[in-house]
Amino acid sequence: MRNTFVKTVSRLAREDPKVMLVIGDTGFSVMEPFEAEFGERFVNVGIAEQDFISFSAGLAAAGMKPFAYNVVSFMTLRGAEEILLDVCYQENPVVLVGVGGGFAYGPAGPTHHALQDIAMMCAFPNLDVYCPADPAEMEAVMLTAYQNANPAYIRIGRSADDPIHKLPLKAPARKAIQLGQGDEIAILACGTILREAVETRALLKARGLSVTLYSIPCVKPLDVETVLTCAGTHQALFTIEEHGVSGGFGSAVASLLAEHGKCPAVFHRYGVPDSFAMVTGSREYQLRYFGLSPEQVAEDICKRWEAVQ
Amino acid sequence: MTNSPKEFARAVRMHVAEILCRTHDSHIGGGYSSADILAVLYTRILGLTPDNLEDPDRNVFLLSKGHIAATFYTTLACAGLIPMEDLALHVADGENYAGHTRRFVVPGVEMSAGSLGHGPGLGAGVAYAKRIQNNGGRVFVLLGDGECNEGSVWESVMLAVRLSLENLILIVDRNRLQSYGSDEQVLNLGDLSEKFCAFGCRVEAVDGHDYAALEDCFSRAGLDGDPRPTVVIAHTVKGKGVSFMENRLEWHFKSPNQEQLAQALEELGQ
Repeated sequence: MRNTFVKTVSRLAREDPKVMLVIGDTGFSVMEPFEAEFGERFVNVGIAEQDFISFSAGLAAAGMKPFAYNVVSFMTLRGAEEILLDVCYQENPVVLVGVGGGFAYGPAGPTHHALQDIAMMCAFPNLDVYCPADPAEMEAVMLTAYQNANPAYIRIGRSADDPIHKLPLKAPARKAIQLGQGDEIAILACGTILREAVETRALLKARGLSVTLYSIPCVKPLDVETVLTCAGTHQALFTIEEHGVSGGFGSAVASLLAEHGKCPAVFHRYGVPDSFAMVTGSREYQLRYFGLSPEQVAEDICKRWEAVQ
Repeated sequence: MTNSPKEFARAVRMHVAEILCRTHDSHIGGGYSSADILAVLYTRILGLTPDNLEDPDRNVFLLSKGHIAATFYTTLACAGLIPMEDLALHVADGENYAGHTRRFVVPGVEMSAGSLGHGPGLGAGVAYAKRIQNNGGRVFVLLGDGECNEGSVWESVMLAVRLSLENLILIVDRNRLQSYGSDEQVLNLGDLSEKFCAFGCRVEAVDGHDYAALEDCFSRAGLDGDPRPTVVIAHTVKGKGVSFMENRLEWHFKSPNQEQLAQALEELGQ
């Protein structure tokens, strides 16, 4: 998705002289073509996340349209106050792009895992929160964020994320995207873990279960209509995300269901529990460790489903 | 309103004493240390009027030490950018004049402030955006010396130097008193001029209550071909202008009672 990011921001920069790219000393071997083509519309602020955000906000305050690209964990934690006060509170339309969502940097350890960012960013007023799952969603999300001219946070995985969707999606990307229709179980997947959710659905289907699957690339504002419709038309509803269960996408769905009195017979949020990664491991290892591999999730869904039959 | 910085600052200080006596809001000491700097900027340097506040070529002023909101609102009123009557609304329920300045809701306030260390980064962004859009005007940021405890200030200074933002002028109100003690007692920033010099800034130290010196310094900053951002270390006195407030830590927090107000107004009127 990094490549999609650079390709799309370059395209926007060609069309709009106000578009800029700001990085926090990250993106080696990916950002150079942008720098070569757009010169002073590219700034590397160094390893300085506070200034990274404030500087980008200042650019926006004076009429530029910055895309600010940095590692999720450092940007959203070290730069949290600047995001809240300089971007959100002051309504400076910076598009924050975070690389390394969830366990994308798995073996690097907990300092590089991003498991609280969705919760934090969703709590910030004036900020749209996007978690695209593949390059097609990424492009659509970027175009939507650019067109809306609202402060936005886009969380991506790492580098070579294979396409899941076959066709380019049409902006705006605030709506849920259906990947499969069923009538018993619905799975709402958010972000890069969509790939695993597709496999989970296939496993459940092989066991004879009828499963609806949606990708939800926009956590805030949430596609309320699709979520409530799913809850009303399926006996079981599951959310899955590569993020802590507390305050993330699943929590947003849970709150919505509770407030509308629409909780189905079975509801569960799949995500990372209130824990740091306990041992070193790749993204796939960590997902397995926390019971989030396609096989484990399919098994767990079956158990929960059979319990109410 | 007067275009004499001295008379302007006198009027600002007198209004501020009345406002803070009425509202019991804090920060009169840091307001008074900055009052002469603001007076010079708004009478002689910035050239802001109600008609040019959206002009991309305007000079931009960012108040990073947002806690001196009462002093800043009064400055804006004395400069004709907001109605004088609005000074009655300071920290009033349901109004827009918070104890820390807020962008968009008060004309002339270009940055929402309250948490320290944000102005230099925002200012650097505005200054860089001016450059690449070929917009004129300079960017002045007023920060406190205690604010220089914040690491973010130094992050932003490094970038401003790296980008040669000659149109960025950081003014440090060097009153040497912060919230819980003196600068020396808290972190002891030492020779701030040397520190900013070492970061690659052009640094000018000036008496922050000398109108002519301030005007001379601000008139030249960023306009004489030196590519470095300017840092003006304005040596000031916290509570300047009222004898019982000067250099007294407690006037960071206290507001004058009626008796103190009367004495302050008498001293300021002289």
